[in-house]
Amino acid sequence: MAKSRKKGKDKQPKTSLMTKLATELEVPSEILPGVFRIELQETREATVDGCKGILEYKDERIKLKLSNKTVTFAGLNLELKTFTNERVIISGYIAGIDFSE
Amino acid sequence: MAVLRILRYIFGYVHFRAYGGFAERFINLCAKDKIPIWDVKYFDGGITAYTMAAAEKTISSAAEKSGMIFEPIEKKGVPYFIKRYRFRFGVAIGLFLTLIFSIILSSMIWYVKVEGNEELTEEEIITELEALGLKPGVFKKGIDVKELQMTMLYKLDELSWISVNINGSTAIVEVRERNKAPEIIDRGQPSNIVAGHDGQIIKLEVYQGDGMVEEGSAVVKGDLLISGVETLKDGKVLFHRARGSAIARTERNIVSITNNGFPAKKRTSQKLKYSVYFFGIIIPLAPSVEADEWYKTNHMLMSDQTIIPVGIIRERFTSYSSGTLKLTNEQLRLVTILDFYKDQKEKLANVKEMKSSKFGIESKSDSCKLTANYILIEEIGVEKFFEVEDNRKNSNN
Repeated sequence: MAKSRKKGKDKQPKTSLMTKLATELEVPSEILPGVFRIELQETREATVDGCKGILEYKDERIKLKLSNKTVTFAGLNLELKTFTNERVIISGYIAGIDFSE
Repeated sequence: MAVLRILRYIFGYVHFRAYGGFAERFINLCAKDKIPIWDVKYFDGGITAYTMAAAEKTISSAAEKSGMIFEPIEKKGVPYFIKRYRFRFGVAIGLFLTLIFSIILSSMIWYVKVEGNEELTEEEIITELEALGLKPGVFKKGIDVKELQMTMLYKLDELSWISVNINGSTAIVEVRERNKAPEIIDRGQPSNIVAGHDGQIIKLEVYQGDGMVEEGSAVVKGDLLISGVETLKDGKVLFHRARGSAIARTERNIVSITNNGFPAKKRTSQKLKYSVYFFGIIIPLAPSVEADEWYKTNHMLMSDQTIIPVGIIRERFTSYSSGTLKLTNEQLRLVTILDFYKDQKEKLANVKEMKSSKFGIESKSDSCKLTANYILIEEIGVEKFFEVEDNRKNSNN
């Protein structure tokens, strides 16, 4: 029983070292390498900092590669406003955001 | 966003379509090669997007690497505009001339504005400024402001201060006029105060000299009211300038007679002449005409509050012939009344109070006579200077 509790504890998502460092130093996490940041403006626009590449691009789904994760934006009439310096701006109707390893 | 759009237009941009390969790889390659792309839209089998004109070649190679076919849809911006019209020399010459023209015009004075003048008219100041070289159409660089200010102060004695500020193409001339020194009363020459009209003295106030009449006494024109001659107890005589006020009750008559038949001018011809005014240069469109009267109006272009020295000058030349004008009885009466009021205003300027007035008008076919009788309360004292001969000098000689 105790073992299974321990296993449950292990399943909690790990906080990355850089994020921990940023928290300790009280500096914005987006300035550190390998830390991504997503900013939403209602469901019309999403700004993603720390994007390493585009894995899938369709008008109802855009999948982006981040440092150690992938993020999928699902919605309607999605389009890529810009993609420069690891910054991507997605506009359209965003219905959902999904993270995966 | 508007600034970004303007910059994109200045540097030029391409709206393109890429299809047939891997859109994701193409976008990633663009990001890796730092090729700016924006407004990326998906369509079945490809994407449409925008990129800068300078990146057109590099983006083609990125499309090739990702197996896509790159196809420009529309090219916009200044570089493409220039490319499109590069063989149209007329446009280029026009643009060049416009630029040169703008540079020349912006280095000229368009309008001279005068502020702060009270006694001096704007025309007087502008005429002097024009004579010294400040007028529409002259180059700003050729104006020595300090020299101009100094010369203006020297030439126009009425000015105490002048400042010439050249603001853009407008010369604003601010002036301050000199305060006139008060008139100095000559107290040296002796004088008497005598009656200017017949009347009965109501009030006599003597400030300097000797009062010669009592209040209530009647005087005739020329009677001495206040004397400037003072005899001292030891027999010596002093001469002053008499000062005082003599208010009297008077009776005055004003008669105004107007004869019919006025010398009049009849217009025989009127001609108009137009000239084009362009930055101080006048181009006449017709020859000048000799005439008795000449009238000029300037119609200049205006932008906001600024007068642009480009416009039309309209001159009117009118010739007259002499003749006699006969009026109707009504017209003659009206002219007589008008003349009478003008006369009355002048003659009764010093009247303190009008006790009573009677009027009578007599109209004939060739003349009209208006008589008025007034009982007035007025100042009748008139200063009369006199010469004093210095006998001491004569006796010494």
